[in-house]
Amino acid sequence: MRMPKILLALTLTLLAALFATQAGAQGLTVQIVNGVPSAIPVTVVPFGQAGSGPASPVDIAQIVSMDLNRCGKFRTLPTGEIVESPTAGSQIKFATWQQLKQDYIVVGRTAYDGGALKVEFELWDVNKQQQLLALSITGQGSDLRRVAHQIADQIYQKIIGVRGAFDTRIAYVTMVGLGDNAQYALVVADSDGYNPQTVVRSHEALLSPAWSPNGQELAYVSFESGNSAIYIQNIATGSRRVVSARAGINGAPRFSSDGKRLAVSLSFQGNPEIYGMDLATGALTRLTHNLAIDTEPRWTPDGASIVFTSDRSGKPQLYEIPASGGTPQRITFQGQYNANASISYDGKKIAMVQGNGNVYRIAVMDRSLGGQETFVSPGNLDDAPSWAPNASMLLYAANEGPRGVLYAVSADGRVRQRLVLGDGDVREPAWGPYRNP
Amino acid sequence: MESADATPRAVAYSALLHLGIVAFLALAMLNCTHWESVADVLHLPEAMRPVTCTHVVQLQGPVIEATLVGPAGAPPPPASKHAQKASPKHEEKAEPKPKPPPPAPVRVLPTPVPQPKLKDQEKIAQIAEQKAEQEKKAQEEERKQRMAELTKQKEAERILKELAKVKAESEAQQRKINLESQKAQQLADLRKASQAQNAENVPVAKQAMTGQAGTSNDAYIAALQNAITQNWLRPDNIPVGVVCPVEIKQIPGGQVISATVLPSCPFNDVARASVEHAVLRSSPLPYKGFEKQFSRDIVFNFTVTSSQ
Repeated sequence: MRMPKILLALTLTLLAALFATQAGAQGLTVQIVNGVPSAIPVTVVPFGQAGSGPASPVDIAQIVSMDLNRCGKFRTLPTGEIVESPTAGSQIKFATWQQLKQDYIVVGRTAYDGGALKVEFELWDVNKQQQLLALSITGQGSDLRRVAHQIADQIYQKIIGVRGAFDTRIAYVTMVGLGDNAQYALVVADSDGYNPQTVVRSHEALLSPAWSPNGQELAYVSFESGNSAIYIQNIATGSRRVVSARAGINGAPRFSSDGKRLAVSLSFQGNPEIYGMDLATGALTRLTHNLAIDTEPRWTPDGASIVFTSDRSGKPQLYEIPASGGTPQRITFQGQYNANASISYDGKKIAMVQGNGNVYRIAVMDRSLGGQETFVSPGNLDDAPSWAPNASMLLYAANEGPRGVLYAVSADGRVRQRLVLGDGDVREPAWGPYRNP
Repeated sequence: MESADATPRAVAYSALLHLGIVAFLALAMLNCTHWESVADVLHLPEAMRPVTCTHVVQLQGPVIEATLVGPAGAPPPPASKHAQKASPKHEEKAEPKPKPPPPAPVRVLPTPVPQPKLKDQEKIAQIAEQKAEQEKKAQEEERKQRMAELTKQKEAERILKELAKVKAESEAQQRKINLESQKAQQLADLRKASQAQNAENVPVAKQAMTGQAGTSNDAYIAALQNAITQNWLRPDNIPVGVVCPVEIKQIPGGQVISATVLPSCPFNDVARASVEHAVLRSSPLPYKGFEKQFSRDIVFNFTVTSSQ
């Protein structure tokens, strides 16, 4: 009596399964090939202001919009084409934005909360009509640019799936005046170049700023004592210490990703060689032994090896050596000149200055794609690439007439923007790590 | 080597030749009308006449003063052509090809009376103008009439279409109801019968029904491809050759009610979102004209074949 019932159930299930597959087979299959390579279309509607009080001192939506554009992954709708101004999700007429071919829309509003400004924003998927984010950040008037960068970071992370790097800082060296009147300064600014703050000023050359992994200290080379010396300075307090002032060249400091060691290029034993320095004890480990110049050491993110520049083959090329010492391996084979490496957070991409003839451009080598290289800058004298902590963008130095300027370029080289900086010659940019909110 | 007696013969030949040339020239100097009369006497057909003469048209009445206005252009080739055909005697040059104005008077040289011709032309031009105007009016009227008819027709078509749409919808609904009742019936039947039913029949029959989609399925697929491809704004780091299937459900009218990226899709999150957006942005999908080929379920296979 039981058996047939079970059998019946089984048959019915089988039948249902068969039915389902047949129903599936009824549908069409259509190939869609290639499409249109494009940045992601997103609209940032100007934020509204609720209640009374003075208007917000900065246009938050505009900063968010410029951030998203600058990284090359997004394409924001120009303000002139924003036809409606919803400030909350409930006011969005999705048909409008669908017609404008937007994938995402950001709306927001500000309101005074005591002395501080409370900024609320929402990120919506236009086609699914679905809310993806709804957050509120409170900041003082002076912090609002940072609040805007944080909003851009949230949007970036939600859509791209990688942490945004807009709320970060950059360091660079400026030079004003000539000869004896020359004034050097080490400056820290927001990632878009705003809020510049001078960390060190000197009449002698300042070189090679490098961020500590926690973003609180900068290592740099100063000639203020007559010879080169490597300093580490706390940005907030201004206190600093000398870590190397040996005879000859003391150059190119770089923190390891755990912040415990410093890789440097020193020449007190003859010619410039790469050394590892334990920051706690100051103990040195010599890594290279060669008659050629070895300099510009860069830690790989796992701290296991160091990439450096050497002219041991005649012209400068990049080499990699285990952090504990060993035999260096040459890693660059394209171009006559490769130097000044910057390694992305995942270790996959190495940016460098590549020279061919008299043209020096920033090239990105993708080691996950077998060392495939692409140029991201036009030349002629581009220098000092530095990755953003999420490798979405690069900073580099370029010449504009007699003046050095900084550019931010998207990792694919498609979007390039000159940073708004003060007067003077600007050199040696270094992109800082993520900041804790 | 030549013999002396050959000389007189040669002289005679040359005299003959000169005489012939002089005679030919004399013939050439004969008036055109003589030639014509000779041709008339011989009853030569039109095509075989060696010359045709230009005749001066003489019209009675006062001489009309006329001035040439503008290039001897525009007026009416059809009228003059007609005249030429009807009476071969009529002045030929009345049908000047309007293009190059200066050569015309050069050709007219033998006839020293341009006035009547001009007058003629003007008259003809006037008539032609009037005619053209009339024709224009007639055409206009005809056009208006046709438009009126067309709008009526359009209206009718629209109504018909709407009716058809409603009908199609109701039919679809009916079909759905039928299908469901059939399904229910079949399931009930199955349940009634004990175990081994020849159950395969059911789906096979259904599949046969879908076969009617037939020939212009290609057009439907092309329309779908066209609509979605241009809406696929994709990141440029999608690996070449991998395929991401997206299953969608649509309702009559083309409205997409769901789009699901199948788990087998190897794309990253950003690229997955881009294909989803592509389908949703294209909603409503092409429907008009593809009512027969309409398919509720479609799988779109997104792929990149070249890196650029």
